Amino acid sequence: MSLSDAVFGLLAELVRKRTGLVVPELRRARLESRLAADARAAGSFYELYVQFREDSLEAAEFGRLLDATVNGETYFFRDAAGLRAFTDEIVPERRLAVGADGVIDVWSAGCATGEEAYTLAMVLAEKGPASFGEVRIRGSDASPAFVRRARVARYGAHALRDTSPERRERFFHLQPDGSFEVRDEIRARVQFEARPFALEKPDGPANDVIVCRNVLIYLDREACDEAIRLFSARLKAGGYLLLGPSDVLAASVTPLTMVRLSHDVAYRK
Amino acid sequence: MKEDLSGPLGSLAADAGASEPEVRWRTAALLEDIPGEETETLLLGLLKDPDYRVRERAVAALSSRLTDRVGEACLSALGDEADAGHRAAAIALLTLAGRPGIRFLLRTLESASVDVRIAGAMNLPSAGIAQEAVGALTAAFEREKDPNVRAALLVALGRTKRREAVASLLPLLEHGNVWMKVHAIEALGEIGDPDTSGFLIARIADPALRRGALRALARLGTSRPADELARIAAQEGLDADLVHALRSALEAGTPETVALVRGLWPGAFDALVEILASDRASPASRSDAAHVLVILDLRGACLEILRAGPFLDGFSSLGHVTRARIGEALHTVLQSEDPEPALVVVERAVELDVPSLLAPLLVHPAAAVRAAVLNSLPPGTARLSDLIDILAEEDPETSLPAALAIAASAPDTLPDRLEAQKKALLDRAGGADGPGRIGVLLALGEVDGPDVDAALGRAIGSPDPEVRTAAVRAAANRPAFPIAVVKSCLEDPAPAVRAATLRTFARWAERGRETLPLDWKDCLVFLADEGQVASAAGAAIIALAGPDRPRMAEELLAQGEAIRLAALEEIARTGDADAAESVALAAVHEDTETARAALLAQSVARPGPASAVAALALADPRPAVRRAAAELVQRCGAAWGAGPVASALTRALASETNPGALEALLKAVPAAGDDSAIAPVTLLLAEERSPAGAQEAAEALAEQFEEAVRREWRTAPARAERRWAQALSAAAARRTVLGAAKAGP
Repeated sequence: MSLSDAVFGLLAELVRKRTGLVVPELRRARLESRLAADARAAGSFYELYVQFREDSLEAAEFGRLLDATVNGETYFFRDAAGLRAFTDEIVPERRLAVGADGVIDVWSAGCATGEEAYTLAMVLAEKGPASFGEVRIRGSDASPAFVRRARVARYGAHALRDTSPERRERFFHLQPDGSFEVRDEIRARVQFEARPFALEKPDGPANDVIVCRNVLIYLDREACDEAIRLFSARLKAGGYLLLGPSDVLAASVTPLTMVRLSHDVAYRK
Repeated sequence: MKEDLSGPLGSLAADAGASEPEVRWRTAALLEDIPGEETETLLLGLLKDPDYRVRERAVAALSSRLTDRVGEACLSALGDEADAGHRAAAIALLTLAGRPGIRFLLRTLESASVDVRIAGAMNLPSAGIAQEAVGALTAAFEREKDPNVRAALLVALGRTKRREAVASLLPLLEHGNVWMKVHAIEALGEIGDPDTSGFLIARIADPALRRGALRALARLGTSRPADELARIAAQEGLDADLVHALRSALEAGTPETVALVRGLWPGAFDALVEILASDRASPASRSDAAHVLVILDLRGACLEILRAGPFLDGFSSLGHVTRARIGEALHTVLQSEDPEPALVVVERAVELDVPSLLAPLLVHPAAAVRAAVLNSLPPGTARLSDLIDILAEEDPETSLPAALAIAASAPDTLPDRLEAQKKALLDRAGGADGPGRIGVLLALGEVDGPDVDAALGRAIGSPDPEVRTAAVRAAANRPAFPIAVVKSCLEDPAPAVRAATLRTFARWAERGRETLPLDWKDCLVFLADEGQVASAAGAAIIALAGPDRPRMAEELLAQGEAIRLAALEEIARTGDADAAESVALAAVHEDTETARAALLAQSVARPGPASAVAALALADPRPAVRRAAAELVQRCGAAWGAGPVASALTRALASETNPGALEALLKAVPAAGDDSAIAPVTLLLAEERSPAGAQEAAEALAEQFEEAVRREWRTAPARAERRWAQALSAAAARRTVLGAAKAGP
């Protein structure tokens, strides 16, 4: 059972319409190999497309389609400059803004399998809890499978390729199978949700910091602009949006103000 | 002029001179649709409007009506020294007009103004430029004194993509100054004639020309420079441009090219790995190095890719792994829990037609990889015990693939194994609810035996709605499954179960199962049910409607989108030509998905009406509809015979800009293209990267219209000439094979 050009086009268009994610032709073989069993059970890839079309964006089945289209490769302690900007400049400033007893809300938007969200919790822990007070970190991703993996919080050595032995020791438990499990004190600081941007409400909880790295590049122009508008709405006054290096260009229409920090470039409300 | 006009035109003339730019802009828009010299004159006047938005609108309005008068007016405007906006609007109009603008743009090369001559040269379109234009550009170049205009003319010569231009460019490589040489090299890269590779290679030694020459070589799409590039790499080391040119040459080459390069460049592995590991190398360069490393088929390449990746394009370089190296690649990707490299190798093994080698990856830590392997393995390849182990993991991602792999059997499977497979499935089907049970129930739909029906019947009584849904869906494939058991599921509290039940009745009706205790009128009530149930009811009504089907198909068009789509899609499954024809007009429905589904239904309509609908939809303003129409032509065009589709297809090919629609149109050419499609296909073949499907379309045309293609081949731009030649060779080879087959032993 093979995935024809026509049905691949329909599946790609369905994903684009619902999430803004652009599915490149390169992903066609991936969709075919990942979804062949579902297509066989449905009768054909076209019948499977009909099923996906009838699923809601939150349905587990539609999540399988997203899982097959999204590349969630990332790793711990990626982008050292951005992390330093986060701990040395942004969080201290937000602490002053929310007050000593206030809560700093951080949203890792498009968190994939959770490495970025946990990394944020780890770098804050390294600075010492007294310096920062209460910080709530929420990770969200369109792919339910990625979020499941984020909640399980077990990673292979590849995800720790930029993690020093000291940090491995401090933040992970080495498992008998060679994988690394994030320690409970870090896991407790991070909550995950499977939710695409399209289902996020502009009047949802406001954040002090939104981190969204290397996600906008996978969105079409319309969805990208929509995401930037969403982030603007969901930032507290003075809050920061941190994007990836390629996202900076993609987000050139941002209504936020670009600010040069000592270690990175960010957008501020 | 304005004073002479009266009536509505007089009013428009007044508006064209209004003080508010918004009024003048709206006037330009209105004038677009009113033919005649008067409106043309008003629009020409708006080309010098002080507001750029009004000028833009006037340009857009005139671009589809570039008469001689308008063209001449543009040339006059280009002499308007006092108004740069007016000049820019004239150039923009001649450019936007496409082919009709070319002869006027060529005349701008005679302008006294350097700016106009540069703008004329820079704006000559690349597509559809005639052979004669090369002569005009060459003549302009020879008489031109200004170095910037000369450079622009060289770039324009390159954009013609015609081999005739090469003769004017090559002497410049010898005798021109660096400025001319750089532009001549760029033009040669743009033309893409492999015969120029030697001239370009000779320029690599010149430091001022090296980068341009390597970039031009990379654009030729030929393996000819591969050996020389390998020698340079061996002697001088690698840089970003060299590795990019090498990648291009190797991708265009054969295994012999690869062997030659390996022999000439013994230090390739170390040099490439150094780039992979370098922090200073650009992401594009690291990606190029990764591709070259794998194409060269060097031992250890996969491991280095895995260590240094992911790259700009992920791990796609692993997609070059050779058949001989698949084992090494499998062993390597097993060392990483990252699913990406493993999934690329799975896809490559399938592409190389060696999926049976993938079994070792069933122990990969990522469920996505295990699922992809299970989906790719030929029946009977994996050990039954391994499959049962994977099923026992109860992972939602692997359960269904594992169950289907257990259910599948190769033709020579021993009876003992068949029995063991069935027992494994039935054991799990009778077990606790969960992903494994759901997967097994769906897989049991393909397994024979009354014990299977009994297992499905028991599952229908499960408290888990997902299990009940799976059992009802599986029942659709079982012609003797007790109808009453399924019918009772119409009362199920879970909408997914009710929807699956209606779909199961639709499948049984499609397959002609008799004595169904349900007719289409019984399904009407479900149209008011929840979304998925309502759409399943739409499908069931069409499936069960029998002689009422055409009428019901029309009726359901008035329902909401989900029902409408399900009903239209069901028509194709029933094969009812009358029903298909009753919804033909929906092929241009305002909702794109509805139009697409109506076109899908036309695949079972009679040739006359179906081809007329396809021709209409090929001219639809929406790319998704044009694409669906092209896919219909692709499927059915060969059976339709002569009709309106061939010319509609040619028109669509000539104007299509959407990549997906263009690919579908090209794939429709073998089914319904006639010799009029040759010209637009030539333009596509002339592109540096011709769109997917263009070569196949060319081969089909070469097979059917050999003489016409030969004539086209002789005058085509360089890349198109080469690709038409390949198409003619492929067609000739196919004829030889067919002739030999006909002649018999």
